[in-house]
Amino acid sequence: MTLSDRQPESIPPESMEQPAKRTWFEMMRALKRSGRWIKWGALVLLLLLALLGPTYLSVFELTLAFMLFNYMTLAQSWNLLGGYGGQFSLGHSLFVGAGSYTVAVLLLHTGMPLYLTLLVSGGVASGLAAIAALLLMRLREVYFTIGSLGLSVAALTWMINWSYTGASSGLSLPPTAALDYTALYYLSLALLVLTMVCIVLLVRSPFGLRLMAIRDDEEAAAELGVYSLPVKLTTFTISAFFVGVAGGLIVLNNLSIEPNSAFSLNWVVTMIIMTVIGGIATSTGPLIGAVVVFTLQQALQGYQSWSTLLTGVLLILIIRLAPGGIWNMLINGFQRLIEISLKLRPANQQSTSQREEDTVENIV
Amino acid sequence: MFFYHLIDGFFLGGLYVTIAVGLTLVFGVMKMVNLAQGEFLIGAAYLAYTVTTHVNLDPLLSLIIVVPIMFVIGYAVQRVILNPLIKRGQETLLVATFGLALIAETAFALVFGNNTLALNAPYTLTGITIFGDTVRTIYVIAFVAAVLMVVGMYLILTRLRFGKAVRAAAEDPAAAASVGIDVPLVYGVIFGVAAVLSAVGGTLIGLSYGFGPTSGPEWLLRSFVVIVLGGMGSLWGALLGGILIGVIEEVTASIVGAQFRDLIVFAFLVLILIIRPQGLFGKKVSVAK
Repeated sequence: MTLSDRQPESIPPESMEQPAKRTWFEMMRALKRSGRWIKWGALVLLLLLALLGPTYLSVFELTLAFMLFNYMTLAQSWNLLGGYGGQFSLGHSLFVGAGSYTVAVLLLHTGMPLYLTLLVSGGVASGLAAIAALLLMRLREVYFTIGSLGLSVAALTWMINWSYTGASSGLSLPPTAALDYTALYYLSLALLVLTMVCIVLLVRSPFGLRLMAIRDDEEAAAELGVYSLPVKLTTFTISAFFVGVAGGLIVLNNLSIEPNSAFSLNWVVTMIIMTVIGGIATSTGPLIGAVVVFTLQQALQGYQSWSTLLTGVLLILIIRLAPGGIWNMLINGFQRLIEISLKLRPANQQSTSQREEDTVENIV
Repeated sequence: MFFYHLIDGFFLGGLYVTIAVGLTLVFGVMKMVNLAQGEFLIGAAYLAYTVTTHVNLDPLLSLIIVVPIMFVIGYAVQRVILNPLIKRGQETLLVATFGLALIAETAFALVFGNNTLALNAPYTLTGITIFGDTVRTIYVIAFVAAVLMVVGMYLILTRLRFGKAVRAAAEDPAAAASVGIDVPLVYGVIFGVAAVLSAVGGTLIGLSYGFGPTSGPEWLLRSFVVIVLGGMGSLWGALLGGILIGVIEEVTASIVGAQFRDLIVFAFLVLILIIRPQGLFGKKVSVAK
């Protein structure tokens, strides 16, 4: 009798009994084995849900999602420089403002197609970042932080006085710039996906390793032949590019712009809060942080002070008790759960599974 | 005319010294940048405001009540929140002090509302004539306070036993701890003292300018310019830096226009960082290759 002949007879009863016998332990073991598949599955599912967004979301919800996606992009871009690169920038508001103003000025004064202006806004932000990097990247740690803050505030005070961009009263976009909500939604989603893919690939590439080596020990990295300036400069420009485009999208949604809000310190403040709360130097953390901060903001919309107070307290608690952020907390908790359940494998359970194997062998 | 702006700037610089001394002290001892410095200043101004509305005291005399409170707040913040984070590096401290700033700013808005407040005293609107130029009395007071604060801190740090402990802890915390110096205590006291110095600066801000819940970052930036120019962590640097910034701001503003005041100051900040990151009196700053 061949094996193939016997299988149909022996397997069905086995598979019938298996679900009943499946224990917590086995589930955990299976989970541990298939962690990768779960991750990809969840990612694809979320992407599908996001792509189908306009079919089941109301206009109001689409606008909320648009804002959330932009927050995620901003947080992730800051995370590239501040988290993976260890360059604690307080100057990223500059790139939001630069991106916004580029789109506004181009749409007002040239006939450039709208989508191209978004690309240019990223380019302008990158260009500014390259200049800023050349000026400031020599500086270490807090000196860089203070310098970036100074640069961003200097830019704000310049914009308040620059009559070409309407000085402190700002500009209003032409009516042709008004996109419908679905288009804005998809643009922000596309930007988010692009940002995520670029940053995740970048961080996992040799370039990313160099970047993190510089963050961890600049001298040691230099000894190994990693020059910090080009790496930091590139990282800064890439980070600024996405922030710039996000700034452009934000102005397309607002349809008007003025310097105090476009260059507001609140932008960089929010980026840092979201990244730190979610998990600094992780690829998923900033997204989770963005969801947490955004939800808090929306839930307490009428009580803006309270939501800021709560985020402040959350920030201190996270940095004090769980420096890895919410994402690392979840991951560690989950791994702990699996490990504990694997260790807790009861003695009788072991014997039953032993017996099971015996019987299977007997049958075969 | 130019000479008058010079004198104006000189005394305005005195005010800048008083707001920056606390920041430079904290950086000098703990290598920590306190992003909540602005909120310490404004918080002290709010405290002085509360005291003067309840008790009929001159705002500067109200410091007798404000100073101990600020010391306790500063000491507690350092011991409870910041000390355990020091070993995790500067970024963590930046985030923590930044969170504190956020909380404080919101708390001010919740308790005192969003209006701009000011401290009132008979000398806020008067002037003193110095070399034919009329200087606001409050700036002269600030200048005297600035010199007293810097000289006083210098004497404490060099003449007292406690000052020696502080300098040892600043130089090498591990070695200081091994000879029996209670480093966490030193850090706590220094942050408390910095809060006290900021209380003076904050009260002077309240007397000379208005203040609201969101005024903090503005003054934080001014303090940064002062201590970066003077050299971060240097007391004398803060004194000289403050005066220089005051003069530069007044004189250039008189040439290019008052609306560019902030632009001049912040562009100057970036300029110093590019040209001479260690400032006038700072230790050499390591830069990337």
